[in-house]
Amino acid sequence: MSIALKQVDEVEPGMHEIAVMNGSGDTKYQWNPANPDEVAAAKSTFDSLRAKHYDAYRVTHDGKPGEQMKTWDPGAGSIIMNTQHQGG
Amino acid sequence: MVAGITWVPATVTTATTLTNSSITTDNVWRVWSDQCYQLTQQATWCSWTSTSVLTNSTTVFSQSAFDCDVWRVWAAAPRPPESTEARLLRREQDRISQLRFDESQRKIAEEARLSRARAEKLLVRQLSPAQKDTLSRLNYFDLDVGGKTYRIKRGTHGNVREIVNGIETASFCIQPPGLPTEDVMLAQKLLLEANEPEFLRIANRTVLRS
Repeated sequence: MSIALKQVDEVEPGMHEIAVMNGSGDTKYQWNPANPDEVAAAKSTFDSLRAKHYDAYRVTHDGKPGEQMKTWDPGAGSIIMNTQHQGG
Repeated sequence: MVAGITWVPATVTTATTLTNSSITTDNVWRVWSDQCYQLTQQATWCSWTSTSVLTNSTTVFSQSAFDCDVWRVWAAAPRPPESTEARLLRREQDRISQLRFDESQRKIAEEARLSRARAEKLLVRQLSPAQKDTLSRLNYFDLDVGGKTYRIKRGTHGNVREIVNGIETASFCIQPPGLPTEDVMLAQKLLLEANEPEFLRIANRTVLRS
C-alpha cells in the first residue's frame, strides 16, 4: 500500500527532502531513507513529476552547483524540482 | 423635475403620444415598465431587445418593436431624485464593497510576500557566502561556469547576464513560468551550472555590447 509523503515547512534532521517549486514558493516533502515505504513514495513522487517534464537537481547546501537528475537516486538527500524553462 | 416631465404616476392610455422634446402625460417610469401602449418616439421595456436607432418618426407597438434604442432613451430620461434613505443605503453598500475589495487585495499582497520570502529562503540555502553577500547588498550573484562569468540579477526576465572583463555583454531571458522571482533565480542557477548547453539552447540571448 503506497503512502503519502509528509509535507513539511522545515525538514527534520536525518530526513531526506524533495522541494518542488510552485507559485507559493515551494512545497517540501520529507522521507525517512531507512523506511522502504517512504523511499518508494518519494520515488513515486519524483517519477510522476519527471513524467510532467519537471527538471530535478540533487543539491547540497554549501553553495556548490547542483547536479541534474534524470532518474531517481535513493541516495540523494536533497532534491529540488521545477517546471521546465521557457525562453522569454 | 424637467419641464414637461414629472414622476408623478399618471394615466397612460393607448392614445398616449410621447415626442422627443416633450413628454405628455409625464410618466416615463411607468412607460418604461408598461408593455401595452402604442407610443411614438419612445418605448422602452416592450422594445428592450431592439437595437435600431430611434428616429423622430418612430412608432412602436406593443407586440412588435422596431427602431428603438431602449438604452439610449432610458439613459437620457431624467430619473426620479434619490431619497435620503436610498442615498445612505447606497453609500453604505459602496463602503462595504470597498472594504471587501481592500481586504482581498491585502490578502493577495500578503500571499505574494510570503511566497517570495519562502522562495528567498530556498535560494539563499543554495548560495555560497560570497553570493549571499552580493545578493543582499546588490541584488545579484555571480556564477563561474566553464570559465565564464554569469550574473543572475534579481528578476525573472532578461535577468541573466554574461560578464566579460566586468562588463555585461549579453543578457539571457529564460525562466520556468509562474514562480516567485527568487525561485526563478534559483532555477536559472541550477540549470546554468548543471547544463550550460541546455541553458543556452533555451534562452533568448540579446547582445548588449560586442
